[in-house]
Amino acid sequence: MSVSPVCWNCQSAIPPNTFLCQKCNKIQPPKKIDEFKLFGIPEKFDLDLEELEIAYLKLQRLFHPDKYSQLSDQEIKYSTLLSSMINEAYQKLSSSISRASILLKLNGFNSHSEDQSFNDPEVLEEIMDIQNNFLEAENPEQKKNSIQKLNRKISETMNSLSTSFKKKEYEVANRLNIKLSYLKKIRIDFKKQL
Amino acid sequence: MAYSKELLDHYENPKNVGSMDKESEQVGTGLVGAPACGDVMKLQIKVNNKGVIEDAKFKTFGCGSAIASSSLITEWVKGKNLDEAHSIKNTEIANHLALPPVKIHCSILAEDAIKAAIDDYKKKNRKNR
Repeated sequence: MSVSPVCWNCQSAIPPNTFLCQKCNKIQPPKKIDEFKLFGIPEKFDLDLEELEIAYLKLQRLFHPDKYSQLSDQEIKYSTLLSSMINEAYQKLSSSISRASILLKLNGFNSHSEDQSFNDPEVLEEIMDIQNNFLEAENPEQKKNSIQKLNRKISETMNSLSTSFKKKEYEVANRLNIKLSYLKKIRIDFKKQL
Repeated sequence: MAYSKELLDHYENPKNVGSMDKESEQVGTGLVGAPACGDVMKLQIKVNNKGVIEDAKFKTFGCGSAIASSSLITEWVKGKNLDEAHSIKNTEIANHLALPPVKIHCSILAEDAIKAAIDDYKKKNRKNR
C-alpha cells in the first residue's frame, strides 16, 4: 500500500497530504491522513483555534460538493467524501478531549478505549466526591457554587493537560484527559438539574 | 425504546444502595468507571470467615442500565463464595436485564467492579496472614 498514488485522470503522482492533482487539477479520492496534516497545522494541544478555522474554511471552499455538482459522478462522490472527512476532522480538533486523544494516538500512546473499564482510584474518588457534593447541595445557590467549583477544576485540568503535552508526558496526559472528559460530562448533567 | 421489566425494577427500586467501611478487613472495595459516558461504580463486598460474601453494597453514578447492573450483581453475589462471585460474566447480567447493545458496557463495568472488589479483599487479607 506504500506505492504513491497517481491521479485517476492524468496518471501523474499525487504528493502526500493533497487531494488535488497538481497537473490536471482534478479532485482525488480521500485517503487516510491525520487531522493535523489534513489542515496543515502544527501538531500540538494548544491549538490556535482561529488558525484551525481558517484552514478548515479554505479546505471546504476547495472541496465543497457545490463546486462539483456539474462534474462527473466520480468527482461528485470524491467531493462528498472529502467534505465530510474535513468536517469530521474539524469537529475532532475543535474539542480539547478528542484533540488530546488524537495527539496521544499519534505519539504511539494507546488511549483509553470505550469497552475497557477505567480503574484509577484517585480520579474516580474525586469524581464521586464532586457528584456527592452536588447531590447534597440543598438550594440552587449551593448548586451554582458547586458548578463554579467544577468550572475551576476543569480549567485547572486543562492547564495541567497542556503542560503534560509540552513535557511529552503521555501517561500523565492520558489520565488527565480521562479526568477532563469525566468533569465535562458531569458539568452537562449538573446544568440539566439546575 | 422499551426496557425490560427486570431492568426497570432494579432501576426504580435499586437493591443494596449504600456503602461499608472500606478500611474494614472484612470489606473489599471495587471502584471502576467508564469515562466515555461519565459512569462511576463503587461496589463493596463483606466476606465472612468462611469466605462467603455476606453482604454487598453499591453506589453508582451513571445511567439507568449502570444502576440496574450494579443492583443486580450485588443481589447475585450475596451468599456466594469468592470464586463463584468471580466467575459471574457480564453476559449473564446483560441477558437477565435484556440490555440493549449500546448499554452492554454497563454490565462489563459491573463485572469489573465485582472482580476489583474481590481482588481488594484478597490483597488486604493476604497481607495480614
